Amino acid sequence: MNIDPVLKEDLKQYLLLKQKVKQQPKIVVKAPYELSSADINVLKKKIHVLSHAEVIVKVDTSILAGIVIQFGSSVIDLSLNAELQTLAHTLYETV
Amino acid sequence: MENLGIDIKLIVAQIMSFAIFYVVFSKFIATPLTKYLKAQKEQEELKEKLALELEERNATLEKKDKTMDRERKKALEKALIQGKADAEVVRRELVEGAKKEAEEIVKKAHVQMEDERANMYKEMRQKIVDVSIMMVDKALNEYLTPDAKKSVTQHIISRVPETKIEN
Repeated sequence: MNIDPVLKEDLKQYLLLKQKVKQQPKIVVKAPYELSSADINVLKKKIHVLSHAEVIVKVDTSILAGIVIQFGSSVIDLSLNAELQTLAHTLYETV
Repeated sequence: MENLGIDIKLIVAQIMSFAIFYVVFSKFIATPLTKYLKAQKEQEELKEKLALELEERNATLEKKDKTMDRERKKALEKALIQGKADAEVVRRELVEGAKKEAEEIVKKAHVQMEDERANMYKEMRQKIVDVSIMMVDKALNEYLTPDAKKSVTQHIISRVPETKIEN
């Protein structure tokens, strides 16, 4: 059975693209407002893995201020909520 | 004799009647009377003897009774003293037991009070912390305007240290 070379090439390109996309990890960045691309760029510079991953920006109004980065099962919480939680734990232990 | 006024016949008759009287008296009156008196005397002697014996017996019994009474009193006193001593021992044991029990109860109550106090303090601390955090959260929610949130977030982003995370 002969396959059209053009169709074959398109299929190859599609599969390569799909594999490339598949290899890129997805990282969710949550903030209380829509982060600008400048903010994302600053973050990419500071957190190197962001530059090699697909960054999904989400708005979470429950966050007082700051950002929460979800990467697989890991979470980097740089929000005021986390600071408040830390403060609460410290108070529970010290008061 | 007749001239002298002595009548022989009368004298003989009198002698005869005296003899008859003597025989009758000695046989039918004197002998039974003597026997009766003798029997009476013997009875009296027996009575006296029995009375003496009875008196002796009474004296002996009284003596025995007194001795027994003394012994009974002694035994009673001894039993009373022993009973008192036993009662004292039992009383002491009971008092000691009650004291120990009371001490245990007081000890347990102290421990329970301490635990309850510690729990109360813990709960109070937790409530204070909860209320404090809630107040801070509410205050931040009210204080942070969208611009302030943006400003704080950008400040946080600018202060993020350079991090390398492995895939």
